[in-house]
Amino acid sequence: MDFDLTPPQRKRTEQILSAVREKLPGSPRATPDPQISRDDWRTAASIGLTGLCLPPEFGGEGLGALDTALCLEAFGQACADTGLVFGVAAQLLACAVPVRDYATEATRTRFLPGLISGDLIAANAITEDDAGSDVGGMTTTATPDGDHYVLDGQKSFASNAPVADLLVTYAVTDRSAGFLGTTGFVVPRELPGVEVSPPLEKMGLHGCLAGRVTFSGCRVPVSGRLGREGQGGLIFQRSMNWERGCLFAIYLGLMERQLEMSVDHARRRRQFGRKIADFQAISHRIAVMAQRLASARLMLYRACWFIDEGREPGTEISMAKIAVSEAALANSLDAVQIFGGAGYLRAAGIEQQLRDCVPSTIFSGTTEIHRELIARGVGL
Amino acid sequence: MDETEIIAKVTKYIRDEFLNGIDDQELDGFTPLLGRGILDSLRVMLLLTYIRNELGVDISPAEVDPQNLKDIRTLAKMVRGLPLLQSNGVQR
Repeated sequence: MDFDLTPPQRKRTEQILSAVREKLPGSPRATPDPQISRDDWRTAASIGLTGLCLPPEFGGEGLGALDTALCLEAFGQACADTGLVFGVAAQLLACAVPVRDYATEATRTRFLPGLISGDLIAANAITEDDAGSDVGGMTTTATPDGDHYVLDGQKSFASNAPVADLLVTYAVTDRSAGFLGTTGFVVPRELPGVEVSPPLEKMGLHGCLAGRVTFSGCRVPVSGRLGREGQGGLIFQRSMNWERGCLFAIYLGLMERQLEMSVDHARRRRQFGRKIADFQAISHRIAVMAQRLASARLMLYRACWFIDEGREPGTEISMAKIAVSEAALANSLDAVQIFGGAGYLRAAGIEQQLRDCVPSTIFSGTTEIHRELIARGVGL
Repeated sequence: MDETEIIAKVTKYIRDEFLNGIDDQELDGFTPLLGRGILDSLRVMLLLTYIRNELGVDISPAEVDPQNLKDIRTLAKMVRGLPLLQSNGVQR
């Protein structure tokens, strides 16, 4: 067992830290924009961040889960626009990974190069207003019709959707087959019968726009199907293993940056004639932040290692997802407290970190759902 | 291991682990596993892990579909047709 990064891993993460700091936003996006910056997206792509775990023959880096997580952690550490980081990572893990693993060769050839180059943006559309954690309650249907499927239904909370060029979505093809009754599809945005709402107004992650997607008699060719009919639940679950592992590494990066800011502030800020770092109320709070980060990082790396080993990482992924998201939320509240009034103001960027961390305990499966999965995984 | 033995082992596993060992729910080789909610996302993964660890057969994700998992009899037939893993986890 070796807990050190290998020289290639260290070199790669240092290159990403350096390139992102030089080329991408150093300050958080404090308010929602009606548009994201395609230039920023392409810059992220030029650094290799849109193709980390995608096949080299399409322009990707061909990395495994742990190496992908290390790169996304560096991205999250160096770029203060966590919404942008989230959007890029969500596309990579929830959209491009299932296309990589389950799309037809024609679909892979058509879309993966554009997703990797940054010319295309994809959104994952699975959540519905009445089927969030309860995916089995999904109402969007896909009805076979000759060499097409006809999609009908509405998705919500689809990250990147307002600016997406294509959608990865899931629909019921056999209501009686439960978990194996849904099927995945790749749907070009320009197809008739696809309508995307304006961006939803939300608390944070402003650099990533989210919206509703409505399918009304949308005809998708059979060649746009992911895997076989009925494999959608499994395909989504496997893409979620990658998302819950690798995407949450961006929050490790955020926490690392936040910790550095908190330490720096505690050393500089003086009250009652001394640095606030000299007060144990502050130094111990920062020590706990460091401890939360370190333990969450180990759990996430181990979960990603499970993926790379080809082992089913269900319980480990759930534990890591909870550890990272709850650490990010708790550390962000601590950072606000350490910065005091300045932490509450937008200028310091600390309150934005808190708002960017709040959804992390909700998306990719709520904390409550993951605790349930852990409980069942240990035999309850 | 023949199909009958696989059916018996998988039936016992599903009854013990997913039905809390309760015997009053009908469960045999023909019982639909999907439509009656016996298998959900987590249980599919647990069942595949059991088959790998206890029966020595690795079912790849490509083989997990509603046809192959519709009932224990069909599942057993698929398992019987797949190669056994070697002790080091490599497929023979």
